[in-house]
Amino acid sequence: MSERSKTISRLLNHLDARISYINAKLSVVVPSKIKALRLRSNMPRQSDLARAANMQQSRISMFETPGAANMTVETLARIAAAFRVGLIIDFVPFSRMLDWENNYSQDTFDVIKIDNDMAFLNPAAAGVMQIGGYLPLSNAMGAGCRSETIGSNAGATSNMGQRLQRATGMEHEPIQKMNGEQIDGREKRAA
Amino acid sequence: MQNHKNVILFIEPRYWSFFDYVDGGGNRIEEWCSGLSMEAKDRFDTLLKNTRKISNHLLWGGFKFLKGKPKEERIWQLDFIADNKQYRLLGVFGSVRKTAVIILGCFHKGDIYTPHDALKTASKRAKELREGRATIHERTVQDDI
Repeated sequence: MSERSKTISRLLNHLDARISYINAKLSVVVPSKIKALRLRSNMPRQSDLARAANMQQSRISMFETPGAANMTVETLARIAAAFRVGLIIDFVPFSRMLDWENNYSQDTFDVIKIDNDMAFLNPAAAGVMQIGGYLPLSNAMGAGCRSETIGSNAGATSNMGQRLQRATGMEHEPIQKMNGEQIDGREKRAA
Repeated sequence: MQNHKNVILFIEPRYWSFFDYVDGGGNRIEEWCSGLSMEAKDRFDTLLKNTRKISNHLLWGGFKFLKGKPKEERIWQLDFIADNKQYRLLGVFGSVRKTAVIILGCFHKGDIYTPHDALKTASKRAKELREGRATIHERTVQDDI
């Protein structure tokens, strides 16, 4: 039995295994994202970010250490606000969580700040779809679409279909194959 | 030809590769891993999977060079927390770019390490690697789970 099969079996059958799996991803990727945003911001020192977020520097240090802090939604919102970016917390299929992890790279992760987020500040003038903060798709979705800034890296073009679905509000609706069979997030791309 | 410079071109690997320390007794890192709780093992795997994508090792989460060790050893530590314990991976960089060898896994509370002789053992293993008395085995990182 392969390592993957063992893990899948564990995840299918045990609540604790699913909790551990989800926590592992979050406890590594979220601290890494905080670090990436800090280093790309105009407050590259932990103490600068701490000041902007009204927190102790030691807490910022903890937030950047994998697994060191149990961050509440309130704390994450505070950090996002200090970075002048938004925050999405969402329930997703495991396949999408895996994509989220695999498509993430600390080396390339960045998010448009509210000051430069024209699609938010002035969507009519911006006239573009802004996805992932990197990939302007002019005319892709037509007028009236809400812009979306998703925390992900620039190279993640492979899940563009999913992003477009998210932007159009179809995120949680099942997609039907031609024969009417429902498919999950992983199969969507293949289809 | 006077200004010609010899340039050795090499391809920069996209990701880091992690290797386990192996001696006559077997793969010591795999042995350590097999004794970890599910939570610690999941975090260990996820940590390596994501850390290998960060080009500059100084930006790895929880990375430091071990204090108080001779410079030639250059043993680094990578910290993570699971089961309310502070785990620490100790390692050295390989001679090939973007390769790192994990020489020991342990956890600690302050200066008290489990196993208690972790730092001494790490130094010994680093030396054995330098002298070619130990080998390494590449750690498989699974992207599909």
